[in-house]
Amino acid sequence: MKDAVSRNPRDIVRLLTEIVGKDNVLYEQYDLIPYSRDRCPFLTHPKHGVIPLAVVRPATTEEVQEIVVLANKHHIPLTPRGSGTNYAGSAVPSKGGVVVDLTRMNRILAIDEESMSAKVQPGLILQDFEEALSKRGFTFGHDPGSFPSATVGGCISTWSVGWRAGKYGDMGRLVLSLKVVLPTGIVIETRSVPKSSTGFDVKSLFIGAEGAMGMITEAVLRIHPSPEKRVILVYGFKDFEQAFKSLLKVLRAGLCPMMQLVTNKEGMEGLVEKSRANGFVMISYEGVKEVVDAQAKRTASILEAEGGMKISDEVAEQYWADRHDMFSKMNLVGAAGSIDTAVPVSKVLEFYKFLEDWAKRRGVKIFDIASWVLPENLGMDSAFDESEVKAYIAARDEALRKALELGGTTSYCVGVGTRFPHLMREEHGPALDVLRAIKRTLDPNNIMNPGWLSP
Amino acid sequence: MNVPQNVYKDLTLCSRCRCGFCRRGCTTYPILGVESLTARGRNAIALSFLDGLIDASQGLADRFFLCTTCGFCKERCPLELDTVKINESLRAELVKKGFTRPEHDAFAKSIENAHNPYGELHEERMKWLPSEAEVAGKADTAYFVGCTTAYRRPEIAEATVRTLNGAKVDFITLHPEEWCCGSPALRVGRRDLFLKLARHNVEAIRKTGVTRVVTSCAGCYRVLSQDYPEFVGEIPFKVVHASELMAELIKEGSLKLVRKVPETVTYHDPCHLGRHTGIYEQPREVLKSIPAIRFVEMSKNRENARCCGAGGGVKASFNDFALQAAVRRLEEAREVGADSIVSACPFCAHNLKDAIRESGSRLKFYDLTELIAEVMK
Ligand SMILES: Cc1cc2nc3c(=O)[nH]c(=O)nc-3n(C[C@H](O)[C@H](O)[C@H](O)COP(=O)(O)OP(=O)(O)OC[C@H]3O[C@@H](n4cnc5c(N)ncnc54)[C@H](O)[C@@H]3O)c2cc1C
Repeated sequence: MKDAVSRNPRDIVRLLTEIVGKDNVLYEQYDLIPYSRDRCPFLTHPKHGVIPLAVVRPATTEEVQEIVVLANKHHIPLTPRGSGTNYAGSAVPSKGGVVVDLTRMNRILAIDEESMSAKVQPGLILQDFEEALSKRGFTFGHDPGSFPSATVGGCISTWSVGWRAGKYGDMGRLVLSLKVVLPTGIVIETRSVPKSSTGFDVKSLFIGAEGAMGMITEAVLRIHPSPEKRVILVYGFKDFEQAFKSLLKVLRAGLCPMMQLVTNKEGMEGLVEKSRANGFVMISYEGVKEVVDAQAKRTASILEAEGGMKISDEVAEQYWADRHDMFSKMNLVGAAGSIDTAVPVSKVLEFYKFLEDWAKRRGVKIFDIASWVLPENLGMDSAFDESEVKAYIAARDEALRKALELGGTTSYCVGVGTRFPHLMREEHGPALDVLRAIKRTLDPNNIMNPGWLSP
Repeated sequence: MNVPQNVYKDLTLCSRCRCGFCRRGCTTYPILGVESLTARGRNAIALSFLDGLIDASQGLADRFFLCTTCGFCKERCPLELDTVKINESLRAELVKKGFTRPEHDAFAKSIENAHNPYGELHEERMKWLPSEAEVAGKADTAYFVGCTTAYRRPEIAEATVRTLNGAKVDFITLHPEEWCCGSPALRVGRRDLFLKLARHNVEAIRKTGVTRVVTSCAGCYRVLSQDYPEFVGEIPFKVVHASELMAELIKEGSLKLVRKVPETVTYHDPCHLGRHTGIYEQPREVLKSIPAIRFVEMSKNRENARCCGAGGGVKASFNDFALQAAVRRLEEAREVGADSIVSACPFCAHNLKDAIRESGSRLKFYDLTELIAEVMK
């Protein structure tokens, strides 16, 4: 129930200022505009954003706790925010209220070389983390397209997936423990061991929760030795189907790439001009030199036996070098929208054919249809016309429903956000009520990022 | 509302993309931490303002003025948007609407009255010139001193002249016809004033018949070499920065460096020389030619170099912030074990020296010309 305070922005600003000081509360329109959107593809103009009442910038778990207690008391919606690069709209303060900008909490608190772990604050940017680790001979291993801007907290909360996830795992797998301020203000901290059998995994409630379960204020993350060597192989095939089947051969041989990608011709446009190939496999290994060499050799021989044509190392290097910027560049053609669906491996080719036909039928401009990181992940990147958002959403929903029909999921990374909460009943069935029941228990007043999980 | 069409288009592209890759290396954002001080944030504000969602105000204008226009965001933008031009176009619009910084008003007035932003007398522009210096009556080369060098960092002017004399490069100066190059005016959105200065200087240089203009100032260099041609059309002379010229003179053997500098030295890329005009290697080549010197790179160098914090009118208006940024840069120099930090811009010199003093750092600062003048034969 809204009370007088929650209706009066001035009161909220005053109370927040008491907690974090005046420099860390923003309330002028011009300062709020940049926090009104994330990278959700439909919010192409500031007019599509939702302006929060205020933005607050805490520096400690205690300050976060005080903010949450205040919001819970006055029923003020809170939207945690890292760098606002989320594709799903879940960093948008869609119900108004206050944005909690966690980027002041961006320190590495400790690096434990022996345990190969690091304790960090949630606002730490991945690239800053990686640069600090590499000076000490370590790597984190999480490398999404948004590596130069995304934060640890945002990545945990969207359960993001990066280019190097084949070897190091997705963001969830990299989390050893979390400190979280729950929506009622209670602070919990889980144990920094990979697993325990003392009940179900509490930290998993916050991985991929899109900020709906609490504010992550610290994380202990696994780190890894810097690789001695990296090899990237690219092979061209007759078509996507051939390429995908060849990848499966590599996996069936027991090889475990650091990165794997199967893409259609469009996915290599501009890089492989003259090739007759219509499908490509890209596989990378990194780690101990001798092991990498052996893995690469075996992979090359399998792909060649499958009829693959080797594409030059320069193309592989160029593709790798562009792996962060390529997503942004798509916006030069049109508003870049993507789907990140996954289906069982046995259904991937069926889904691929569906997507090819669907794109033609719906007139969707495709940059690529690609299986990325895990063979189950089959998504596509496309551009749409900003004046035809409704048509694009209708087309997109058709593709998402097809993934569900094939036993898959609507999102293997990125999240639900404001993109498609309407599909969650179809995806989860009665299990959606389980998620909602947990949410209600932790957040009885529904203050924490109340968008995507609310009925 | 009047910004060039390409600027508006760039704003719409950024608004689509929103990747935020510009934030990490930004000079302002990591220190002040407010999204509206990043290129991504400012671009959203700009679009809102241009499309009438929000009115201009002094607070809004200050978001645009609290940017050193260092160009890191432009360098890192995957869409290659000219974020510096975007900001300067918005500044020009805001100035037209009366939203200015009082410090900028003051230096603009001084430029109008005395041809320099520092409120100094024009007659004293060459006060630094040593009596023994040899300045030719006619030559192919002119030395464009620049206001900051002339009035605030005369040691750089002196060292440049000594170096030119030592290498037997004949040159003239333009005084009394050298006026402020216009950089401070253009950078803070005073385009009319800039145009007046640019036209005057181009004409003054043209009249002397020189074919080459040398400057020891990164800001003057950017304006003369890039902004003059863009705003007033083709210029009938070549513009070189002192570091380029020194590298050339060392290569051809007319500048011989003999004295040893057994110190660990790092180089700070001035934004106007590095990211804005692409001169990264020549100053390094010059430094490395000094006998016994140990040259080290800071972790952020060349395209990724951190700005000293002074540019774009920021030092005049937000000096505390400018010093904070400079202290961070000094910290990076210290991290790599440097005894001295060398640069090639009087404005960076000004701010980094202030920061050394304020923070009690043990680092020494030299302009490249000062070091060369000391070690040449
Ligand atoms: C160019 C580009 C490429 C991308 N590539 C990939 C990719 O390869 N793989 C991928 O998975 N995603 C990718 N993304 C999407 C995006 O980067 C990820 O979703 C990322 O995890 C978001 O991080 P962020 O810091 O920007 O979080 P934000 O967008 O700020 O927030 C994301 C969500 O996390 C919540 N949140 C943030 N911090 C906290 C916290 N401390 N506690 C609780 N909740 C919190 C927010 O409320 C929101 O729901 C890409 C985005 C861009 C712009």
